[in-house]
Amino acid sequence: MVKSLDNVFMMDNKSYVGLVVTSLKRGCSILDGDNVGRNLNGSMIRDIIGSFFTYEMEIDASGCDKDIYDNFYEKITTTSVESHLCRFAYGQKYLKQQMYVAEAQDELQRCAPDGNHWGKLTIKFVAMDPTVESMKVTS
Amino acid sequence: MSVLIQFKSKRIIDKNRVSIALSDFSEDVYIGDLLGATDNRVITNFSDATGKFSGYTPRLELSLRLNSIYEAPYIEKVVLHVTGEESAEYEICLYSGIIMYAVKHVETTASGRTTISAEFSESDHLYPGRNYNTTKIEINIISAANKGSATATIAGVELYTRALKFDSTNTQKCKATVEIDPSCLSIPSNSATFTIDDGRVHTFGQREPFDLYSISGEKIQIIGTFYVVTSRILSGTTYQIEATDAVGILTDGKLTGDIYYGKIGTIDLIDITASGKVSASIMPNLPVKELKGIVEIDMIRDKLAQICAATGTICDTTQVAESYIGFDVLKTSDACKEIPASRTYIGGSLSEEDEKSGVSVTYRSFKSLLFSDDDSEYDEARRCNAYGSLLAGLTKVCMKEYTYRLTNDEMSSKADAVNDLELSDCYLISELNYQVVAERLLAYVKRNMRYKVKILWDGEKPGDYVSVPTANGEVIKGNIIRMDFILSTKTAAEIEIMVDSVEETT
Repeated sequence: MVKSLDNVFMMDNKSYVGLVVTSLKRGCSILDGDNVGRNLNGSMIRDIIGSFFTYEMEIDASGCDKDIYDNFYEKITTTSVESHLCRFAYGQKYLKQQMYVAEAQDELQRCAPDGNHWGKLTIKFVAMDPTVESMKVTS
Repeated sequence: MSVLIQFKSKRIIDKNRVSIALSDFSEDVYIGDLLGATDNRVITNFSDATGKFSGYTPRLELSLRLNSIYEAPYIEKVVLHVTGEESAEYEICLYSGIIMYAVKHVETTASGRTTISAEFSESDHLYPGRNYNTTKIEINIISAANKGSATATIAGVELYTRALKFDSTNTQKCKATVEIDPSCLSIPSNSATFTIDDGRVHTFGQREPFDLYSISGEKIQIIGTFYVVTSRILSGTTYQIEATDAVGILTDGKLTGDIYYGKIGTIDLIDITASGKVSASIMPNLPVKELKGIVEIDMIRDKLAQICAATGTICDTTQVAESYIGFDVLKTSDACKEIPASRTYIGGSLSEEDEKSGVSVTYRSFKSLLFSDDDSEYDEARRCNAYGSLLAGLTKVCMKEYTYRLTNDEMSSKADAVNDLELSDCYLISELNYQVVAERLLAYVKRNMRYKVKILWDGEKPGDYVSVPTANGEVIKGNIIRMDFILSTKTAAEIEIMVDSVEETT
């Protein structure tokens, strides 16, 4: 089922009209600190720092204005900021937290007189900080 | 959450600069009224100020009254700006320059009068002893207590804004190293480094003391008291702090002669302040009572090391909530603390230190020349090496220097060369205790096996006698001599044990 982008994703409190999320994958890494290891009994000694979420999504830009797409692409690939305030679908709520773009990939699908048409954009967002309850919001 | 850093001084955060006029600085001087702020962050002012510069190397003494709400200011440095004419016999020239003074001591009386003692630290072509016309002083002040809201309570003590907590959303690197010299011949200083970013602006004063705690659930344990040595701003509100313990802020210096001859006394505690001022409590409760010497109040590191060597004690700077150096003997097997397998990480390693062929202890003997010289003959182990004479008051005194040697009979044949552990410069070693000292050092030399392993920390500290299991079913017993703390959400430490025994488990 195709959802409109602003339902499942907003970045820096802005939604991008015409960009449609066609796939959204959620991942979670529970990271340990320097003191993780095994004791002499063979049991694990955890040193849990927290849960770090990743979101990987594919975007269909076929119905989108080229300027909006290019603007969005510039935003996600800029190095002038370390992270973005992202809001992703999380269960029946949203997860709102600072995330950085780890990877972005798209394809040039068509060169036309009105310009280049890019699409099949995939982006991977990774959480800057471990998730805490207050990041799970309803709006 | 596993780490808490509690700054002991109740002060924050804002750094301010004020200027006062100074009419002259070559002699005792009057310091005029406050000229005014150099920027609008000034929140205090002075009155009734006098100052004095003395010594060829400029030493600055300021006495003034702070007209402000701030108590007990923390003052980092005094900067003396000089502009005007330099008068010298051979030339007259216009001059401008800066003298930096490192503040050594600040004292505020109940009446609100503050005295600042500062020592010359660096100069830009400024010559002490000459006259300069116009001068200005800038004093960097960190304001005093502003409690804000308490952030935590530990043992009934409220902690305020400088209590820095590390939790899962604010994980920072934090390490500490504490160690002892089990031979008791020196006093290593301990260190702590950490990086913080709690989104706030801080100013960390040099030698500002803080307690470093490990927090595990409801259990809070102190790792040690440390003093800020350097603080760096890495970016924004991220700071990197390097700190040392009470031993580390003591000065190095040459031992004066008056420590070795005279009263009988033993030492129990060294109180130490952030400014490095040291006072000692002399108490007769150490196991070695033969120490002979005058223990000075203003001690320096060398003298503490002499005391350790003579009494067989190690320094302990991990005491709770106070800034002092305690002394203790190495714990013995009677006080063995078991570290269970559940707290022991996989990966311990056993190693061997260089073997020593024996120990040589030098001591001195003093005798009045009013009596006949000592013609005693000594055996080979106790040789008379040198003698001289000195005047003690009006009495000529003969000094003899002896070396006492014990052989390490457990040394393997591969190390034939003489490779003694030498104690050659200890003024507190005398005829009364040289044998005890030598035998203690020999026992240390024989324990040359070391075992390193990582454990989850539960209050162990250097000097403790512990037993720890190994991966191949043995139990190693011995004294912890070094701990490298790794502070994360759990507190672990890589410990080094001076091995006493390796036993098979049944």
